[in-house]
Amino acid sequence: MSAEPILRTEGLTKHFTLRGRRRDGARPVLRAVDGVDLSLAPGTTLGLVGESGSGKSTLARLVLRLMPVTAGRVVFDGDDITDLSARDLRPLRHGMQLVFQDPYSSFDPQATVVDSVVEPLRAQGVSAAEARTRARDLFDLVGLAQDHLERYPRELSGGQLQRAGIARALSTNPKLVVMDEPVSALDVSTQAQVINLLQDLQGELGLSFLFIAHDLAVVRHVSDRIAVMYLGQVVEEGPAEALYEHPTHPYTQALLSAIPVPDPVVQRSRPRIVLRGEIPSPASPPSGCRFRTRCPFVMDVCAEEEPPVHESPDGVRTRCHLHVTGPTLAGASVNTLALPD
Amino acid sequence: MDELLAHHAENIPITPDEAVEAAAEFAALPRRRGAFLRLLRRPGPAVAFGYLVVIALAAIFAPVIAPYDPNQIDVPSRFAPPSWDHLLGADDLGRDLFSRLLYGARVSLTVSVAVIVIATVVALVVGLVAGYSGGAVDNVIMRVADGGLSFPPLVLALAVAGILGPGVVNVIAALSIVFVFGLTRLVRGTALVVREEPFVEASRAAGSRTRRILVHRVFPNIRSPLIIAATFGIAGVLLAEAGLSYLGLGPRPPAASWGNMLRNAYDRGLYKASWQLFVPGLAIAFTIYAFNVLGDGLRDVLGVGRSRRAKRRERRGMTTVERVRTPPAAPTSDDALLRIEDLSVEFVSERGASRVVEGVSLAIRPGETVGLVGESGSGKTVTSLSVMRLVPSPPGRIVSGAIRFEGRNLLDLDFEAMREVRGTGISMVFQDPMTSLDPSFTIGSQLAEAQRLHRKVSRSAARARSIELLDLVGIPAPETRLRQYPHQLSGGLRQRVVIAMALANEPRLLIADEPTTALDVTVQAQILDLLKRLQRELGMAILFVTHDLGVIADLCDRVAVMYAGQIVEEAAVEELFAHPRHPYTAGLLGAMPQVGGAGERLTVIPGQVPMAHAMPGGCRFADRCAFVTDACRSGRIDLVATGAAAVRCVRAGELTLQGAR
Ligand SMILES: Nc1ncnc2c1ncn2[C@@H]1O[C@H](COP(=O)(O)OP(=O)(O)O)[C@@H](O)[C@H]1O
Ligand SMILES: Nc1ncnc2c1ncn2[C@@H]1O[C@H](COP(=O)(O)OP(=O)(O)O)[C@@H](O)[C@H]1O
Ligand code: SF4
Ligand code: SF4
Ligand SMILES: [Mg+2]
Ligand SMILES: [Mg+2]
Repeated sequence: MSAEPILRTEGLTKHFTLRGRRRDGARPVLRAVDGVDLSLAPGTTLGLVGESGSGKSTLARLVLRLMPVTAGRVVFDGDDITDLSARDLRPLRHGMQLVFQDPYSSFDPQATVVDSVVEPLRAQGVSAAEARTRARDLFDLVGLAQDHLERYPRELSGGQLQRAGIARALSTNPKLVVMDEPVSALDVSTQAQVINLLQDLQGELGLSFLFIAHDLAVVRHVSDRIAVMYLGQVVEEGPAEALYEHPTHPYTQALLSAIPVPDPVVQRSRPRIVLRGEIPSPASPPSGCRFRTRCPFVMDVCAEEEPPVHESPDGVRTRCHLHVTGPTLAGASVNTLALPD
Repeated sequence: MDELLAHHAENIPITPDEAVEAAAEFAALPRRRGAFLRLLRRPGPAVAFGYLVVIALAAIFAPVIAPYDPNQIDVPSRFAPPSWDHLLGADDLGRDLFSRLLYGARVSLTVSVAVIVIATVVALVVGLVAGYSGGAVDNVIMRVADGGLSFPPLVLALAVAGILGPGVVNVIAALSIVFVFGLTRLVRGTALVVREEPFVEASRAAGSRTRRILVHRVFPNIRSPLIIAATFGIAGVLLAEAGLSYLGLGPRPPAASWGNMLRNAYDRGLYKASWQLFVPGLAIAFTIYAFNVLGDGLRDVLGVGRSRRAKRRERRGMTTVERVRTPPAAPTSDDALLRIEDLSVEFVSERGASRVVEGVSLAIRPGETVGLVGESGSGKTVTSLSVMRLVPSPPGRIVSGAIRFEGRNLLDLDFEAMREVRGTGISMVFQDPMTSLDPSFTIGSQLAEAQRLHRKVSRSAARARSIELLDLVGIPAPETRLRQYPHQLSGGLRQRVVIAMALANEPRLLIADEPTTALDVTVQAQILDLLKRLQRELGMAILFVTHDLGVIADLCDRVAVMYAGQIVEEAAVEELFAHPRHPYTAGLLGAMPQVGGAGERLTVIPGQVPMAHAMPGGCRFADRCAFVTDACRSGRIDLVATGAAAVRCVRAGELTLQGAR
């Protein structure tokens, strides 16, 4: 029934080899992304959340093949692009684009805004004149005045420049747009403008988004499905609604509970989980379940065995022993469990 | 936390050919002349440039200008002093010094420029290949460059020139080798930084070829530092050329060069006519000085390194106060710990003064938590820095108001009295913990320093108190942490340390300016809980500055909303969220995506914050407000208080706005 996904990853892995030596003489390895299976249906948005250092940006660069893959596969629009060279990727680049977190650092300060916006078109061999005409249309599309074209990045506000960043990504009519925290650097009011713009564009152009953010409230707003990452792994993935209403992984539950709700009555009365400590280094992840050092429900088995992926009938995949061992949840929400101590 | 630097960009090997072609393509691009014109508008560089133009013209037209053949021997004029016949006198063989100086300029300047051009081009190609390709190629190139740089330049030049022998071409070759190492390092270092820039990654994601990325992205961003280094480099070459010639390894005599003239004057004339040393000596000194002035000017105009200077916060000094209107009279009795009244702050620049904070009034009672919320640029940081008199002056100055803390007006205090208030009465925590931490000292020594700034404490007492403080802010194993450096801690731990430092002298007021904005939500929740606990235990008041209404809802008793330099609404926190009275407050609440309210469209506040120099008269929010009427634009709108709340909107009485959902 479901259409062929626009993007699919299988066991996608990226290990960075670090400088220096371990005691046994081997080079230390940092597992930035470790066996990620994801699938993005055409015209939909997959949200990707997790604390900083969980591997979101690395995953974004891998699916766009901006860096070599250590293991696993990336399939874009039916083509396996895992092992393509930079030269062979070039003709595919127009179909997949990237929007960055910080609009200022992602525009060359020495070049005019239009020069950067038309770069993907120029790389496809479109003439300068034609690219410029297209840039005018794009500026209309994202709601920027034409006189911003010839300005330098520093002369635009953050919100305006992020619109230009979206124009750049849309210039080649891509099928897939990967957005690495596109609204994190923006103010609330500007953020709302950009989020609405993205939703309108998706409706008009049938775009598929991989939308990365550390703010779950923002991700909830734009996503059809959501994947939660922790230390290089996807710990829970499922329909946005299900994930928010009935989180099945303790980490998802904790993330949700950490977002302050802008209503003092609700915020001060709701039960909250404050996680202990901070995310460990992916160069030496904990044994068994990677979340066990901070998990309020940790059991003995969690340190010994990697939790298997549990898949529920409504399409929620979760990686936690609670669903198979222990007080078996078998896909039910962790909210049904009483917090220990 | 990772101690190792992350490199997102993969290594892309480029060959020297490609680098040369790219350099040629870049050189052919049309240039903007803005920077050069700006340079000449400064007096120092303009004079230096004029001087160099004169010297260059004199060198070029030497055959026309020079009254004598530079090598014409005229024994009767030996050591002739300056006269109309010999403007600068004559040397031991009666050769005219003025003529020799002109011809010498040809040699010395040619050598300097040739060396810098050769060294720059070679450095550009080699440095780029090394920096962009990385890996083994880079390793080899950098080993060689480091080797070259480990010799003192003159020693290396001597060695090479000694092997090659004297002569102009050999001098150029020797000095090019000497100068290429440093410039290669510079190019390679800059290329390494530039290729990690997101805008270069954006070019790669766009599908641009390496060649295009080099020409249009990397070169333009390497250009400025390289031009500056080359300008200073010319001065270095001039000096080295003089040195080599002086030691007999320069252009072969009798050819005139400034270095040869110096050597001749020293060898032959030192006792008979020592003034002769000054002729080439001053020419060399002035020219070197001119190139250095030019280099300094370029550095300022091109803005290289400016940002780093700007980053260092003023340690001494405090905001100046130049009132344009009389401060409000002190209230007879006051239950407030801090009372800001009618505070206005300006920044002065070439284009005039822009008032970024206008008539702000805000009171904080002992033990109370007050939130100050608003979009970036609304003046929250300037307001809170003003309380500490930490707005840098110039360009900032306080132009109206009073800031009363425990009854004293902080705007009347001198530096010493203000220093006492900072830390013991009021402490401040910033968004970036590294603003308050010094990377080169341990946590322990910085905590001890924070205590010693204000009173005498013994080492052991300071240490005990430091451990107590770290324990108070929830840092496990405090003894170990005392010995660590800031870079060994995660962002969340650093912020806890900064809070511990702020608490060291038990302030009555803590000002926290976006202390959790850079942290993950999970860590933010920890820090917010920490602040709540500290307040319960220590009873201090908190002024919490943030752009996040969720954080306000979690933490604050009262809120003030800032927009474009003014407070537009103030109320108890429940009241503000349930019944916002200013359209901007309601707009902010509506724009927040909420976990509960799925999928629905966010209400936006259209448009943007007005610029400080184009502030609309009347309501500053008028251009973005859905409820605007003519009354909103006709004249000043005051903050009107009703009970404990206040609002700055002419229609506040009639509007019913949507609160938190
Ligand atoms: N080029 C690299 N070399 C080494 N480590 C890296 C590199 N890129 C990222 N990392 C590490 O990989 C982990 C995941 O990083 P990242 O993907 O940026 O996470 P996120 O975007 O979720 O914050 C981090 O620990 C980061 O330091
Ligand atoms: N040192 C400075 N020189 C000139 N302008 C400044 C300086 N610091 C802040 N400003 C200006 O003052 C205004 C208010 O800034 P700020 O108080 O930092 O805003 P907020 O903290 O609300 O984001 C901004 O327009 C900003 O550009
Ligand atoms: S596997 Fe264990 S430690 Fe990991 S999330 Fe589940 S309960 Fe917690
Ligand atoms: S004064 Fe007028 S324009 Fe300003 S906020 Fe009130 S209704 Fe809107
Ligand atoms: Mg990231
Ligand atoms: Mg600020």
